[in-house]
This record gives sequence, structure tokens and C-alpha cells, in this order.
Amino acid sequence: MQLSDEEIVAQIKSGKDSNQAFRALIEKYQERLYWHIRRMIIDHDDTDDVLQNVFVKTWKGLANFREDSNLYTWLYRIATNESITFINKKKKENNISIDDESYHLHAGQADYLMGCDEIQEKLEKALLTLPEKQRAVFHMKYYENMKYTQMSEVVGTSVGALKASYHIAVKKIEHYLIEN
Amino acid sequence: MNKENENIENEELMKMAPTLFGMTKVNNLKAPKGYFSNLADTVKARIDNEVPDGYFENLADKVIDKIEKEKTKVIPIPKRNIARIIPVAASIAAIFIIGFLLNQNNIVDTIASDDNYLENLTNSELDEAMHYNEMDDLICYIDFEEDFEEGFNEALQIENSINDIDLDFTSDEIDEYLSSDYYLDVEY
Repeated sequence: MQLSDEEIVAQIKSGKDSNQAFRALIEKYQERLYWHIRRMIIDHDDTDDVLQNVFVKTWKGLANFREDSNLYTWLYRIATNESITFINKKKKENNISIDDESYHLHAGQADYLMGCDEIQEKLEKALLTLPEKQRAVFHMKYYENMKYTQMSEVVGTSVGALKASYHIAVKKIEHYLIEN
Repeated sequence: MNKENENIENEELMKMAPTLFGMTKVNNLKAPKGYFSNLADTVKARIDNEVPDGYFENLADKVIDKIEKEKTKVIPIPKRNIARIIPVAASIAAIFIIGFLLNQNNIVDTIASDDNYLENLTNSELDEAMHYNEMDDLICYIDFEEDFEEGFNEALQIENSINDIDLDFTSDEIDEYLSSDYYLDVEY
């Protein structure tokens, strides 16, 4: 039987069976967080590094987790921040402006598109033209059907700003699909 | 998200981006096979091997504290041990003192026997000694004896001559002598 978020947090904080509870947490959220990070970072190895960092930070921070937000959004927030930090660091290392939106294409990380059908390849390339944060917003809404209120907690932006960001992302993608 | 909200959002998407809306939602990215089955173990191993938070911030202080403790470490000596050491130390000291006194007597005897050594030698023994290895030592001994006697006689003569000098000077004569710079030319 899968433990609830509350049970996981309570067990880890109490120190009793904390290893088991932490394992349950990882197994419960690893795939969703992986794809959330992977959508932003694209490369699997980099995603793996960032995802591990997310869980290490989660383990260290759980003692101070106040539970005024739910575990799910807290984990997404850590994952989003870690991903953005990683991307900015990578850009700095490669002397690419942090505002450069087409970083992944320039970095030659579009190999994963091989094997996609033509229309899917176009969609993926369209997604790569979005800034990382906007791509994360698009992913959370379009692929994960997340509520704007939840997304607001994850990204730390108002619901209105998120709606606007999503609409802009959708229009950019549509434009790219039509033009190409 | 409830069904009503989902429908509204879908309608919005259809109006804004009909091409995107018409596409099937497919995940084109792939994760390696078995990746998720090992992730929990990998993360746990990483946490277990990680250096604890703040470890390096406190390391210098910890090392300095340890060094200070080592410096000020007092090794207590039990009182019973002192009581045992005193008679032993006194016995050792007594043995040393007795040994030293006995040794002193031997030295005196040796000196006395050395004084008579040359006197007791016959001429033939001296001649024989000249041909052996102890010859050099013997010559040194004789030289020393002769030098000492000569030096002693010389010193006696000087002392006698000083005693013969008339030392009755007046204070004026002494002042005149000191102001005359003669004494500067005196060779000692």
C-alpha cells in the first residue's frame, strides 16, 4: 500500500523508519519530477544529476518542511529551482547569455528528436525556442494538466502571470508550427 | 482539475492554437531502461556518502580545540608513587656518594703513585721505555715535570724582586706619575 504524503513526511520527521519512508517518497515522485526536469534540461545525464540533487535537498530540508504547502508542490518547486540554476550555470560555463532562448539547439542537444515523426519533431523544436521557465509552465499545463494555483506555488508567480505566460507559449508554438 | 475547467481550457486552446490542439500529446523523450528502479538506491547511497552540512565551516575550530586540549593535558601522578620514589631515590643517591668518595681515594693514590713513579725507575728501565710505545707519553710527562719546576722557580724570583721594591711613594709622586703618560709606554 502506498503511503500518503502526510504519512511520508511524518515518518521521515520522526526518524522512525525514515529510510523506508524516504524510499517511498522517491518512488512516488521520481517519474513526474524526472519529466518535469527533463522538459527543461532535455539531456538525460544532466536531468539525472539534477533529480538526485532534488532528492538530496528534499532529505535535508524535510525537517524544516512546514506543511503549509503540500509535498507535491514543494518537490516541484525544488525541482524547478534546481533546473533553472543548472541551466544558468551551464550557460555561464559555455559563455552563452542566460537570456539566450535557443540554448539547447545551439548546444547540439537535439539528437533525441531522431525517430520522431515530422510533426512531433516540429513541436519539440518549437518547445526548445521557449525560455526554460516558460517551457516549464507549458509542460505543467499542457502535459500534466496542473492547476494554475498549484503552478503558482511551484514557480512562485501569480496565477494571472502564469496564465499570460502559458498563452504566450501556446501562441509561440502555434506560430512556429505554422511557419515551419 | 474538474471536467468543466478542462473543457474551458481546451476550448481556449482550440481557439488560440488549432494546430497544437489537433496534435496528440506524446512524450518524445525517453528515459534509459531500468533507470527508475535504481534511482532510490543511488540517491540513498549519495546521501550516506555526503559530507555533513557545515562540516568544513567548523573543522578549523575543532582542530584548534583539539590541539589546545592536547597542550594543556595534565598527567596526574598518584601520591602513593611519590612515597615509593623517595626511599629509592635516597638509596641511589647514597650509592653515588659512596662511589664518588671511594673513587676520590683512588685518584689520590694514583697521583701519589705517579709522583714516585719516575723516582722509582732504574736507568735501565728508562732506557727500555724509550724504545717502546709508551715513550711519547713518558717524554711528555718528563717535559711537564721540568716545565713546572722551572716555572715555579721563576715565579718565586719575580715575587721576591717585587718584595724588594721600595713602595713608599708620596701621593704627589703618584699624581705626577699618572699625569706624565709614562705608564702608557710600559710593556707588560
